[in-house]
Amino acid sequence: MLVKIILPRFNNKHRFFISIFFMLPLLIWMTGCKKLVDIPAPENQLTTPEVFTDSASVNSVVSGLYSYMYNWRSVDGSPYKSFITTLSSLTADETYYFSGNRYPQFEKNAIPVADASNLQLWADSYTAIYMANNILENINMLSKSSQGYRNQITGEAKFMRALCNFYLTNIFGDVPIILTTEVTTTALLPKSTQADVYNQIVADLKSAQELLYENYIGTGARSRVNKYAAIALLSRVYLYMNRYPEAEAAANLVIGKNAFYKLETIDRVFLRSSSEAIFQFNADQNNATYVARDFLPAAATGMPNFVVRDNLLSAFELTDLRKSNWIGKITYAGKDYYYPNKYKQTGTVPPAAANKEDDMVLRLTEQYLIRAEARAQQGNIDGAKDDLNKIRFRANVPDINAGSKAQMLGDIAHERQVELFCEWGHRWFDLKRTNKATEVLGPLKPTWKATAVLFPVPQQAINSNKNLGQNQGYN
Amino acid sequence: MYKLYTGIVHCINGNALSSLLTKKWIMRFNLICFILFIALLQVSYASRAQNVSISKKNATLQEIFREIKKQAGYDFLYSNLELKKAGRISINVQNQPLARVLEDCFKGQPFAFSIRNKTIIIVPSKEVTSETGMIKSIDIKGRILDEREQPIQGAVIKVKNGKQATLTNSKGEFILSGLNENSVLVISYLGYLTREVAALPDLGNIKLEISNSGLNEIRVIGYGTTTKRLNTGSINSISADEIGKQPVNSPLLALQGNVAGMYVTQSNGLPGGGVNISIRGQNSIGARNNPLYIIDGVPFNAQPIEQQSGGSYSLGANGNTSPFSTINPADIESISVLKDADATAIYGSRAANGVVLITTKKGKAGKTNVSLNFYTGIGQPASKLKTLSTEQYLELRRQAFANDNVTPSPSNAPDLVTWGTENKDFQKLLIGNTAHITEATASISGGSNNTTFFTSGTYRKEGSVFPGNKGYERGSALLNANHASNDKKFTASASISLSKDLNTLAPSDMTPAALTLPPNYPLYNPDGSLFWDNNFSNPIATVNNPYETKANNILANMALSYQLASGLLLKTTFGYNKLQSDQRFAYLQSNSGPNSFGTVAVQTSNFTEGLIVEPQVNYDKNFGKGKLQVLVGGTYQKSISKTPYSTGLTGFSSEKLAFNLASATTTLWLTNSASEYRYASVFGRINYQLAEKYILNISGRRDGSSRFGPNNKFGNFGAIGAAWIFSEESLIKQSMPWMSFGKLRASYGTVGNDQIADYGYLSTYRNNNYKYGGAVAISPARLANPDYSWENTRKMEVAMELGIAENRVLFTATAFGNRTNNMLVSNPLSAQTGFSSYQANLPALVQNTGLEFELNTRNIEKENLGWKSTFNLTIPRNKLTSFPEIENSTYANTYVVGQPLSILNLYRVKDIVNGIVQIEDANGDGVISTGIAANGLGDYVKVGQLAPKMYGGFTNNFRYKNWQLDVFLQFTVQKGYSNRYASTNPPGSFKNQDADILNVGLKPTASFGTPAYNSYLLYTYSDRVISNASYIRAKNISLSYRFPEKWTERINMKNVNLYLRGQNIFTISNYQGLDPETQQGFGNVVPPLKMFTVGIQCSL
Repeated sequence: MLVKIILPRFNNKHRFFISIFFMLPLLIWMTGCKKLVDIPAPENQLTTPEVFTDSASVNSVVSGLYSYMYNWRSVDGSPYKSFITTLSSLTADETYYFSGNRYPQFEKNAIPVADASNLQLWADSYTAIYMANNILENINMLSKSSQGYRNQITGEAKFMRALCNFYLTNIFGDVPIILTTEVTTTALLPKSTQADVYNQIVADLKSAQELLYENYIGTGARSRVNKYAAIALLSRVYLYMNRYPEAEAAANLVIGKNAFYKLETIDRVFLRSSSEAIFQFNADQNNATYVARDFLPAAATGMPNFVVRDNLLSAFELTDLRKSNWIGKITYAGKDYYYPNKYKQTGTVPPAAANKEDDMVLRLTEQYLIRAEARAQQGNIDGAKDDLNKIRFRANVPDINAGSKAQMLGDIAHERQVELFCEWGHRWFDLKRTNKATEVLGPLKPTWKATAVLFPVPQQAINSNKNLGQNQGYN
Repeated sequence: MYKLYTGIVHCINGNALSSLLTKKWIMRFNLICFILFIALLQVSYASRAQNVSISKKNATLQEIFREIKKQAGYDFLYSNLELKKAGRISINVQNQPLARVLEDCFKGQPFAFSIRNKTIIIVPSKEVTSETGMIKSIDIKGRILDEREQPIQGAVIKVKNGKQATLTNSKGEFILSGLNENSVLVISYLGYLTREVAALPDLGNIKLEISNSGLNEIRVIGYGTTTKRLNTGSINSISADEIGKQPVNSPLLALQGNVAGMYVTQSNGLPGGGVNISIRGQNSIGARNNPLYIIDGVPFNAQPIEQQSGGSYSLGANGNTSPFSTINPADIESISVLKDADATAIYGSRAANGVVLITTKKGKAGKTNVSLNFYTGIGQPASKLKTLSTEQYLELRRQAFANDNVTPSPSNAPDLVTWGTENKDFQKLLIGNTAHITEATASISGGSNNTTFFTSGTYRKEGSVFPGNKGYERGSALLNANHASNDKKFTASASISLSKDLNTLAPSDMTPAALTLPPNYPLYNPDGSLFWDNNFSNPIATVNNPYETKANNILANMALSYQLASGLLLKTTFGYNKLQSDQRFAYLQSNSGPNSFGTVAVQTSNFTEGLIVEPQVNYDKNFGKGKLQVLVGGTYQKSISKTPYSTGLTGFSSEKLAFNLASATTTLWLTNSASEYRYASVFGRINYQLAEKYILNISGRRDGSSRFGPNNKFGNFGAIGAAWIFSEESLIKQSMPWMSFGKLRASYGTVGNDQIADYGYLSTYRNNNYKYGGAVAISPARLANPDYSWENTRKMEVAMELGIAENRVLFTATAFGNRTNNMLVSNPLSAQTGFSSYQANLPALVQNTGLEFELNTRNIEKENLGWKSTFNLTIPRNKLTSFPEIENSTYANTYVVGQPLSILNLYRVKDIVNGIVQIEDANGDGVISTGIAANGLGDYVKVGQLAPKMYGGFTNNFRYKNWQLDVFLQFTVQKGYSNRYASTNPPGSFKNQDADILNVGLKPTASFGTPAYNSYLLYTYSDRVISNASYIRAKNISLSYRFPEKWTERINMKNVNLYLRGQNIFTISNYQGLDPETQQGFGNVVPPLKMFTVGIQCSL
């Protein structure tokens, strides 16, 4: 009887809906909640195991490290893009910024602790170090590739870690040494002494020297580091550490590799095809270098940006080709202004163009200057003179004939000033390492303080790690 | 109160619960319904001769009934209470007719009986008019309908001064039998005005009117509705009426000042700008503090349109475009804000910051209603900052150069040497133009008893205060349809809303330029071309760059429900949302400064698409005086965010082709990205009401989210709430007759927060925007942490609600306390780690407590004159209760234990001597250094907090004949950053600033590194840059006139309203800066606009 009463009350349509209602929650519960909330990895991203078991992906990760350092930011400079070069030209005695409202903190050596550009110098270097450490920790997953290839990748990562540490310690002094991606370890690490940082750099570079191929790889000309890039940086580091015999020995290795490296004529030094290049950052396929964009005046208004200071201008000898080739002149509002002009290209340049420029990081001339200084410091004045005059000859200035070690060192310092000006902070670091900063910059800048040789540790870094003390002279 | 019962319901229910989903049960349940149905209808009396045998001693009537039921299958309808008055009886009959047996039983009892079909109805005998058990009095039937002419189930029909009563069935019908012809029936139903009618055999349809006391208004809650009277949680509701009065772009802005416990500010005065919302304070240190937004059951992603996925985007001048600017306020019926654990726990892991439920308009049965609304108006910034005049500015500059011993030259001081002395008001030029606003809405609604619909279309155009024709347009449409089957058991509803908006504002806000450009800055060269130098971007060029963000929003939902049995409702809702945005902008060569590298164009497309299915089972049942409501449901949600492409291009042959992808010779970058989010839950709620006095509500949810690592995907959340309507107690009723309503309620529970980025547990790599040497470049996207888990908020609340003088005064006082731990933070890392943050749980505990007061009064209620007031006040308090080892954490320089999260840690200025600032050495170490003294790190001390200390709103509605005046004031007591916070431009620098700087006594300087400059830097991080930012703002004043009916009838209109409205009419504040509402630490934005609109609304 019951059935008779009820059944007519449900027609097929109703049954259909009722079953839908019950099926849905049942389906959900039956399939199990865990699976429901599992998602696939993002389609445009790879996970660490995926990346490091495939040599093409590993290659992309290494390119990613280079690209991060050189190409990452679209608007302003990051350290390895142009900031090290441009900002240190301001803090040293090389340039000032026209109509002083941009980067005055650097020009006047009064950098606020919260300065954004200063933070970029610090943070971008450490991000690159993270990327290098990440490669070092995972490269052994790539069992399919040859040992040689894995060595090359390992060497590149170690080189980049050394390069970043080199600029960090020269800009900020004592800095934390980060050797792992494990943030619970690294987040609150205190600073290490500069001596320890240098030791780490040396260890990395010596290892890279063993691991890296002799030949250049990659599609750019000399845009991925090889064995000699590691040696060249090592010789610079030994020089900075006052370890002169080792500096000389390392420079010997590079200069001796004359199948690769030859001095170019002044006008060809910064080209992609320059045989003086030991390592260049590959500027965008068909774009100019970032440093050129910063240094060159804007064509539209003819207004200068970075203006070369008089004391650099007057440092050049009369016939010096470097002044005529590497310093530009622009007339604005009836007055002449000079600007750094080692790089000439702005805008787009066809990648195949013979005169395409890349950003020079390490070049042969510096090796001659390192060897000259190392030799002079060891009392080998003649050897130093040989090296120095090679460079001077190319620049069309007369040979020097210094007799004493002190004279020789002075001549080398001068030569470095006019050869390496506005290039990767050489002048700023030279003034500091030879303890000449206050002597040279004091009279030039009323706001100069001896403590300004170090940039402040960025406030943001200190906020998140109270173990980082601030550098002297900042609060 | 009386209720009718059948004995068998109790016994069958016992079985039923044990075999919940079996078909057998369904059938039996339907049998009960069927029997009830028959019984209630009293279809016809058809007594069949049936004999029974009973032998009992000293038995209760119930025992006899049970025996009769067993033997004869008859049901009994009676009132439990009344039957207790019956004496015990002894009976011994063999095979006697039923009627005879019953007569025996009832002899001497105060009862009579009547037999209807197979049901025996027992009634008190004094109502019985006939001498025998067979009643010969009138039976009354009728049908109760609501204002939409829909049947009301469960309405109570009582005999006035009598004891008989009944309830209406699902068709709204009722029958009362055996009544005195002169009786009066009292018909009552919650939420409706009680009605009295004289008894008639057939009363026909009786319509009840909605009660306006506010207590009985329907409130939308999670997966259901309740009323203010009966709810156990903390819920505020805003109606279409209140939303409609404000000519705002985003519905969220209409909430400002209207909801106690909810702090709303607009991030700027530009159309489409963001709205910042915080419900009961900041719970989370690191995860987002957004409430959960649900529109017609579909969760709505509150992330700014441009940031929903990824890619490169420009925030645009309005900061970022709130996705709520794609929601048309005119289509909203109500917004419910759920605050406490009881109201929100049903949303589990997403409810820690409250829930905002938006319900769109639905049609009403009856005559088709056409409504038109049109308004137009103008807007101007509501506030202005007094900046230095050219004369003052140049004087300061000269002093600065003299102080610095520097000679002004064209290189270091073109403003002094070459620019002249014209005095320009850049605030007027750049952000002082008149914005025009126009909105038109048309809607049609109507339907039959079974099918209703609502459809509307709105077009809105809003200009900006920038120079040029920059602005914002939106077109939107809503279609909503509801259908019910003839027997009302099956219902289906669907709604779809579409909106399209176009934002052509400038790529960046002009306000910073307006405040800082030197007042003599020449915008143009003498030849009319744009002036350029190295110091400033010419703002005219910026504003001339093409910029547009287009957004399309589709929100669709469908709900199907089927009433399987009386009280048992199955329901499934489906929702879909797609928000697509396409942005393109360019920096044209012709608008760029001299340092430009050519035209750069950026184009980005992204969308978020979400799908949700929520099957639910509702079960409602009355037990004696109790009423039980049970809800069980599940959720499955999936959402995908994608950036199909984002590209930056340069090297165009002509800047006119900037948006032609193929004409670029260089691709700066071309990327895409995608992320996915899945979510599954089961949830439930049990609500039990006893005698409409005691209410208990228990809800819970188990949630799984893809945002967590494999081991921590699931979390459990739940809450318990209870309410006691003490005004219903007879003691209170007698001793305090003036109290018309009194309720105490309390709730406690836990809810969660999963507003963090997707994939935080995966170490993934993304494409770098740029290749290197032609090779593809990828880099780590995040620091992975597989271990983090749910953030947990425990919420507690106690509230008292009072109604006085027939609810003309309604008062609510609420005290709440929320504690959040297991903080999900994007843990800031020192940059040395390589990343600025990573996702992790922090053992910190944050406490939000507060008091909320709401007062609604109907001060005057006369036919031609009315005055209502609404006032709300919130006093919040936020505290970081504990944070183990904060001094060793990455937050050592941000927070202090025992202090609010919004603590302002800054230097304290002792004095300013000769223009040089003297800072208090708080830690006494002899040097002034950054860092919080309380954490032993430096000289920063607490100088205040950013979060408001008190806020609220005050509304007055006046009605006089056909005139209506509404005045809405909003107020906040707070501190804020003045215009000088973190400024790097001391007096005398190459930037304009607020004129009050002249009164501070700082030494002008124009050079970096001078003592005056260094002292100024300390000053900009000191208590002196903190300003009182309290304000009272006349948020909305609206005057409307309704044309008399005799006029409107002549033109065949139902009503015609003319109105004049003003938004942000005046502000009282001592704030040292542009505007106290949009005050910002860094940079300035266009203040909220002062708007006047005039409009007409009519319906036919």
